[in-house]
Amino acid sequence: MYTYVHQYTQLKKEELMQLLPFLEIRHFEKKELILHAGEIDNYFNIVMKGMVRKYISLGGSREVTLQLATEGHFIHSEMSFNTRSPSELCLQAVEQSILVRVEHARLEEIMHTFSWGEATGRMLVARMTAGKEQRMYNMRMKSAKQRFLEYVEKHPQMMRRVPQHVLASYLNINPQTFSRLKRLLRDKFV
Amino acid sequence: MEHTTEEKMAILLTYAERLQHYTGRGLQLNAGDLAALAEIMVLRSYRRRSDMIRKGEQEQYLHFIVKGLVRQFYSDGRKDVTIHFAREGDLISSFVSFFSGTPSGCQLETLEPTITLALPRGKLEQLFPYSSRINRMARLILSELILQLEHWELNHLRYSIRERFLMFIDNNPELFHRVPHKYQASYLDIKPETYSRLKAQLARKVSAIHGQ
Repeated sequence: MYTYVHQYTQLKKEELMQLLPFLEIRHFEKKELILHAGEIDNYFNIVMKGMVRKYISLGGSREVTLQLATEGHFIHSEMSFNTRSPSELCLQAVEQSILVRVEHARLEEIMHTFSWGEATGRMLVARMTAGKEQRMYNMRMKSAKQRFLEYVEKHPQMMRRVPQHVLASYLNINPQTFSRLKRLLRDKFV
Repeated sequence: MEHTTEEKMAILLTYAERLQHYTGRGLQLNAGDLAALAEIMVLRSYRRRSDMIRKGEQEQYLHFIVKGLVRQFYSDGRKDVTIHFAREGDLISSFVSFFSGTPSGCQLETLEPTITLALPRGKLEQLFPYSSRINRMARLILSELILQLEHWELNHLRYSIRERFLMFIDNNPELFHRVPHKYQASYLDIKPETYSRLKAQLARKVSAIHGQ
């Protein structure tokens, strides 16, 4: 976990040790819901092992995945967590997962208690904002094909780890186009 | 035009209250923080249609808009996509670039003559080690941005083109009149022709109501 937090902040090892009493470790089974729609998200999660997805259910069986968090990534329902309102989004374990999590009130306590709390918080949120902005850029500026190829190149293992319909909705590519792009890619490498 | 320290502090306080309302958390800036921030604030003024920052540049300012209107957009030379409008009372910057020091992915241009009070990056960074509350302000500004981006994406997924158009006008009647329609269409991710059609439909409806 030190490695994960350290890459985005200048937190020292001793400082991280002070955090331990604030953290909980939780296990989730594959497909288990971590946060249901309508609940207030109380936890800021770091994925230690496995994968968690954040999605919105749009009626019927239509679901759109907004985030896929693997080892070292942070995930929570930002709107709900920050405004303390019921979440419109769900969190679900895509694989059997281990999360380290901090409760909302405990996170505020960390910010107040330690001199480095707020500065570290600022750097972590800056990092998360950069990710969110990149997603917006990709969605609005790039074609489906571009998004697909760039994602596969950057995260080749995700093609195996994530169900295809989940990945397609995450990249905002319709399922038929996604299959076609996948075939195209395979033919190229044969 | 010169702004007194009191005026600068008033602008900061107004914004702090807004931020609190939006993120539901206290900002807790004290008088010392406000004075330190007011001290480093500088007045910036831009003519209509000038670039406040271009893609690839490093953002140097966090602007509190005193007067005017700014468009935030992505551009790659071929495509131009509007992602946000900021007006009086709003905060604008290429936020990620400002807070992380990375080259800006977006551009900012003024749509009207614009005056801002701005916090310069270097000077703000010097304040971070002295006040955890100023760090907190930065964190909440970024949190608000995450919520804004998520809000746009969810609206886009959940509502039809027509609903998005009507919601935008309903929530931003003033922007509807101030912002060139092609940028509103781009912000809403609607084709310009569709936008014109929706606008004409709306105008017919309004005049029908007035005619009754």
